[in-house]
Amino acid sequence: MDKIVRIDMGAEGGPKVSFEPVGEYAGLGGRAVTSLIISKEVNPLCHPLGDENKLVIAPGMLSGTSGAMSGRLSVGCKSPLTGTIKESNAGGQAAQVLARIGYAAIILEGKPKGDDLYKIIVTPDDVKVEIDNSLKMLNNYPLIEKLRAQYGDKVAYMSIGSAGERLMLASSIACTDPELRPTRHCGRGGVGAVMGSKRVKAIILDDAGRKQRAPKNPDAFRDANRIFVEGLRKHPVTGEGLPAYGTNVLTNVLNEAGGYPTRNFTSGVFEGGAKLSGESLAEMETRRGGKATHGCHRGCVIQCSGIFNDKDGNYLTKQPEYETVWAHGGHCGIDDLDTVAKLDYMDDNFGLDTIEMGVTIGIAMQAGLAEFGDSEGAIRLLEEVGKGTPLGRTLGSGAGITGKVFGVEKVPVVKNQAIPAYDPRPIQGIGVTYATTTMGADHTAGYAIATNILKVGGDVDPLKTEGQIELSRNLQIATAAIDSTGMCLFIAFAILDQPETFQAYIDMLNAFYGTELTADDVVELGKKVLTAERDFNKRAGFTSADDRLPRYFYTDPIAPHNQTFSMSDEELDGVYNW
Amino acid sequence: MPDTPSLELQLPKDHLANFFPLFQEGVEVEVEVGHTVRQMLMEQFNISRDYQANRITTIFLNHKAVDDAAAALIEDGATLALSGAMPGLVGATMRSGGHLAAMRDGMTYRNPEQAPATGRGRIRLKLFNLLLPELAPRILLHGILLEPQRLRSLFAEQPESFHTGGRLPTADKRLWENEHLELRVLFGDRNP
Repeated sequence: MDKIVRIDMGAEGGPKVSFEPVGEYAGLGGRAVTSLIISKEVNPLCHPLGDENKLVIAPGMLSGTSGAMSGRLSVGCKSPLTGTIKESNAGGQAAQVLARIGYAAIILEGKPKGDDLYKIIVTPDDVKVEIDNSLKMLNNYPLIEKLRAQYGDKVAYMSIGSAGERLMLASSIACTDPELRPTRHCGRGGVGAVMGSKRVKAIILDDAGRKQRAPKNPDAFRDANRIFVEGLRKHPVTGEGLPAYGTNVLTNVLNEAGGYPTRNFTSGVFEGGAKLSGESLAEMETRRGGKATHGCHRGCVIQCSGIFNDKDGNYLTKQPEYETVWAHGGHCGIDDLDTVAKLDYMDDNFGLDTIEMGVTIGIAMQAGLAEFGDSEGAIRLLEEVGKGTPLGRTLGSGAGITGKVFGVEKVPVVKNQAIPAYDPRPIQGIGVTYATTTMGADHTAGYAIATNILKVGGDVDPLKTEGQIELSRNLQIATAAIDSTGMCLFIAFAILDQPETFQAYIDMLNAFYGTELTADDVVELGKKVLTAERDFNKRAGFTSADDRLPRYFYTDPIAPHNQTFSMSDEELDGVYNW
Repeated sequence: MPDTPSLELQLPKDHLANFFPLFQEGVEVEVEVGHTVRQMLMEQFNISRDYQANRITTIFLNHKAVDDAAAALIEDGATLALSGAMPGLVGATMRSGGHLAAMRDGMTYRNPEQAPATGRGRIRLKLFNLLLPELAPRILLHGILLEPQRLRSLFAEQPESFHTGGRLPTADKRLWENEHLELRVLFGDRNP
C-alpha cells in the first residue's frame, strides 16, 4: 500500500487516472486516510454532490495481510445527508483485495459532464475507467450478476444501486462478501450518492497474481496474530455470543432495559421484541437451512453474520444486523422477521442505508402513510424508493427530509442523520455521543469500549454520573483510533477485558510496519483524526448549536423509566476539550 | 403451590430449544423472595457463584441494570432478566458493574429504602442468549408457572416430530381450567 490512485472523473476528454506515492499517509489506514484527505483537499463549503467533493476509499492498515479482522473498508467524503465530513465503513472482500493490489487509497474527484455511466477496473498493472451504460439503473444484485459474467468470481466488487444513481441521500455503497453477494454496505451518510454524482456505478477490484502483504517482521506478526485470535476466541462476546446470535443478540437486552425505541421513539419497550430477537433469528436461520454463523470477509474470526433463507429454504439476504432489525422492526411496530429480512434485501438491492430507511419508514408511518405494524405498508413504501417515484425520492432522502415534507414534529435525527437503535434518554451516555460526534447521530462513533485499557483521559469512575462526558469523549477517541487501523470494531470487546489481546493488537501493527507504536500513539492518532474532522465541520459552518439532540428528547419522557435527556449544553460543549 | 395443578413431562434433550421463546418472554417461578439476586440463584437454582460471575454478566431487575447481584434484593412480583455478555457500546454499558455503567446511571437498579418482605413469592424470570441452553433445563426442572394457553400455544406451534417426544394430556380438564399450571420438564433420561 505504497501509492494512491487519483481518478479525475471530470477531466477534459474523459476521466484521467494518475498515481502518486502514499506520502504523508504512509502507515495509516481506514478512517485516518479518508478523513485526513477530505479535511485537507475538499472545500468544506462545497456542495456534496458537486465536482469539488471527493470520494476517498481506503483499506485498513492490516487489510490484505493474514491478520485477523483486518477487512474493513472506509469510504470518506463530505456527506450529502449531514453536510459534515463522513467516514462510513463496511466489511466484505473489497478492503483485502484493494490492499493486496497495493493502494492505500482510491480518490475519486471531479464530475463528468453528460449522462454516461462508468465502471472502474483496478488491477495490479493498471486502472481503467470505462463507459458502460448497460449498467444504468441496475440494482445491486442484478448488477453484480452481470459484472460476474464478465469479470468472474475471483474479484471483489463495489457498487451503487438505483438509489445511488438517483443521488438519494440515504444511498449506500455495496461491497461484495465472500460469496460475491452485495451485502456489506458503507451505509451511513449518503456516500452512494457521492459515488453516483461522479457517475461511477461499480469498481472491480482484481488482485490476480498478488499474494498477501508481507510484514516487516513475519515471526513477530504471526505470533501476535495468534495471541490476538486466541483472545477473540476465548472471549464470551467475540467467541460465543456474536458467533451464535450476531449483533441482533442485543434486541432482548435493549428491550428489557427499556432502551429499545419503539414506534418512532414513543416507548422504550416493544411487546414483540422476543419475536425479533437474535435468539429467534438464529433459530429460524438454522431451521430453514441458512446459517446463524458466517463471516462477512475472509479472515474473520468472530463470524457475527449469517444467511437468512425464506420459508422455502431459498437465500433471501444476509443476517440482518441488530440496528436493521430494530429500524425496520420495533421502530415501525413490526414484529415479523420475514418482513424485516425482505426489507433488508430491498435496502441492499436498491443500495440504501438500513438504519436511515427504517427510521424514515417509521416517520412515514407517523405521518399516516401507513399504520405502525403494517408490514405490507412498509414494503410498499420501500418499493416507492426503488421505483424512484416522487414519494420514493422523498423517502430516499432520509428521515429528516421526510419529516419536513410530511410535517412530522418529532423526528429522531442529529445533523440530519437518523438516530439508531438505542434510546438516549435511559442511556444518556450514548446521547452525548449522538449529539457531539462529527458524523451525525452514529452509534459506532463511540463504540471502542477499550478506553479503560487505553486510559484515554485517565480512569473514570463507572458509577458516577458526571463521568458520561468523559466516557463519551474517550470512546470517540478510541473509536477513531480503531477505525483508523481498519480493524473490525468488534475486536473492542476482547480488548476491553483482556489486556494481552490489546497488546497483541498493538504488536501486530508494530510487527507489520516495523514501528514501535504504543497505546499513547494510538490515542494520539484518534485525537488527530477527530480534530481534523471537527475542523472540517467548523469550516463547513457547524457550531456547538448543532451538537444537540432534537428538543423533544429533553422534554418528552419515555417509558418505562420516564426519563428525559438531561445533559446540559455546557456539558456537551466540553466533549471536545482535550 | 398446593392449588396449582402440576404437569411433569420428560422430553428428549433436543426439544429443549423449543422452550426458549417462553424464557425470552418470561416465565413465572415460585421462589423465596426478599433475598439478593445472587443468593436466590445460588440457593434455589443451584447456580454457583463462579457461574454467576463469569456467565451472568448482564442482569436486569424490573427493567433496571443491576451492578451488584450480591446487593440487589428481589421482591414478590419482580421481573428478573439474565443475560450473557453483550456486544456493542450499549451492551457493554449494561454489563454488571462495568466500566461504562455511568452511561446508564438513570436506569441503574437501586434497592428501595424499605427492604422487601421475605417469604414465598412469585417472580417473572427471563433468560437470554447463551444462558438459555445453560440455565433453562434447571429452571424447568425447578418448575415454572404458566397460563395453560401459553403451553397449548407452544405445543401447537411445534412440528409433528416434536410430539413424538410427548403429548399434552389434554383430557385432564383440571390442568387447563386453572389460571396457572405448574410445569416441570425433565430432559433426557430420568436417571442420567
